[in-house]
Amino acid sequence: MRLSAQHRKKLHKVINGLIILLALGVFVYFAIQTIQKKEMNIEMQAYAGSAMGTAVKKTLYSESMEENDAADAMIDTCLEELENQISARVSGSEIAGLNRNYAVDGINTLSESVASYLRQELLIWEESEGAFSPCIYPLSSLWGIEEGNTIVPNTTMIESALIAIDASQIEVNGNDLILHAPNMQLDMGAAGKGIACDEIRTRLCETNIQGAVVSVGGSILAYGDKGDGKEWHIGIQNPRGVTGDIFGVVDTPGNVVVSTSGDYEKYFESGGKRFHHIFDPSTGFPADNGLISVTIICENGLRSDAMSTACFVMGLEKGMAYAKEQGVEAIFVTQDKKVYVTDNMKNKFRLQSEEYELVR
Amino acid sequence: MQDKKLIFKKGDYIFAMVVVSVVLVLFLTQLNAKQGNQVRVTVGKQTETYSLTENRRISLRGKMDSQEQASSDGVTNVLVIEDGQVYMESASCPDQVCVKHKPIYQDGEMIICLPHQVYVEVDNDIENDIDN
Ligand SMILES: [Zn+2]
Repeated sequence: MRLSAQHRKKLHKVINGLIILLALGVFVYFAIQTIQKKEMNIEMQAYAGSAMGTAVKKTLYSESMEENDAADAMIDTCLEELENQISARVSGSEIAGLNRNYAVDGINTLSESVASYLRQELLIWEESEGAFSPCIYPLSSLWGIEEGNTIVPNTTMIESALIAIDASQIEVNGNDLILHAPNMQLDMGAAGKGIACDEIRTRLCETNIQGAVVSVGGSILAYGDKGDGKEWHIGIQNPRGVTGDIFGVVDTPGNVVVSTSGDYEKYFESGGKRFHHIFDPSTGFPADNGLISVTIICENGLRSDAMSTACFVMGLEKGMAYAKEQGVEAIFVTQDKKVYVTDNMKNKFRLQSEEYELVR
Repeated sequence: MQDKKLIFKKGDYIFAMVVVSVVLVLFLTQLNAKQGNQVRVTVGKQTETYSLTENRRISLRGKMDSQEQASSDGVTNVLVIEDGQVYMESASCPDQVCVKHKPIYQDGEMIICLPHQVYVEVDNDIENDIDN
């Protein structure tokens, strides 16, 4: 069959159009695949471990498993270095050495970072009117709850410990520290898990890790995202549930530390009363202000950790006022299982347990 | 005739490209599919993998405290895999945190026995909506 020149031209045109259309289709198809592949290529890996006397869980997201593994090892090193610097329980640490060797009214030179941590902790001590103390160690080691002791110490011993935990005797000028009383023991560990989150974040920024959620005991660092730009969903431990049982979820972008303090972590019972590990520095006894859990969410890990302790000691009313004054987000749980949150949390916190009631 | 030949060639070429790209995508999807449904148990530095679909009871010999009374064969923790879930049935650790942990089954969930340095993780295609 022979086509006329006109017909041939027309057919030519139509087929050319089809080819262009098809080529365009293939191009779009490949473009979509490439974009999807990029998302698909984000690898996730969870890592379990321990450091600073607590469980550590890391969930890391990056473009390769090798990068995740490298970041996992890097975080472990970071935690080990930090523990060897600030833990009162590690005998070779800067803090332990200081606690052992300081002379009353003498000048001790601190490392840059320890001086900075201590200045921040003293600020929170001041803001919270003593509800948080950076030198609670003589009291907590007298009780020994974290070491498994189950006996209430006698009042005389508690009273003498109270003298040793008076933070007004601490003076920091630049990197110089002066302690004005004997038998004092600094304990950065009171906000150590939050400090750890801050240090981990600093180091993660130097890697190609896309996103990470790192739990160091009760402090959880949310960093970056999963490659999808979406928020993280951080589960909050049910203070009256088994470990890992969450009672609510906080939706947050990857720029915060979520710290929770509660009476459920370490405690013993005696005479029907619960003796937990969060002490009221003004009484020398475990804080007893009607709360069972406090969560503080803010960018600064040290502040989030220290303030969760401070607010737990202060109780609902004072603690909530303090949280609002500092502009941090907070979740308070009272003994009668009522949940109180800061205004911004009202659409960020999702209660997931029927045992609890969210007060609006 | 010349034109016709050329047109068919181009059509074949595009068709082949489409087929190749479809195959490539299918291959990549397969490659990226998760291994899935596994339990990773780490004791100290040693890691062992078990299937989550096979019911079993696993005796673990973790690190022991000097004052701790483990059974004579050195078993510190007993882990149970049952109906796709994992839980610590018993342990000789002082804190009993691992025993009190809820059964785990979602991707990335963990049970940690701190005193014995025993770490249990789930690798699963059941997505976890909680990130920590
Ligand atoms: Zn255990």
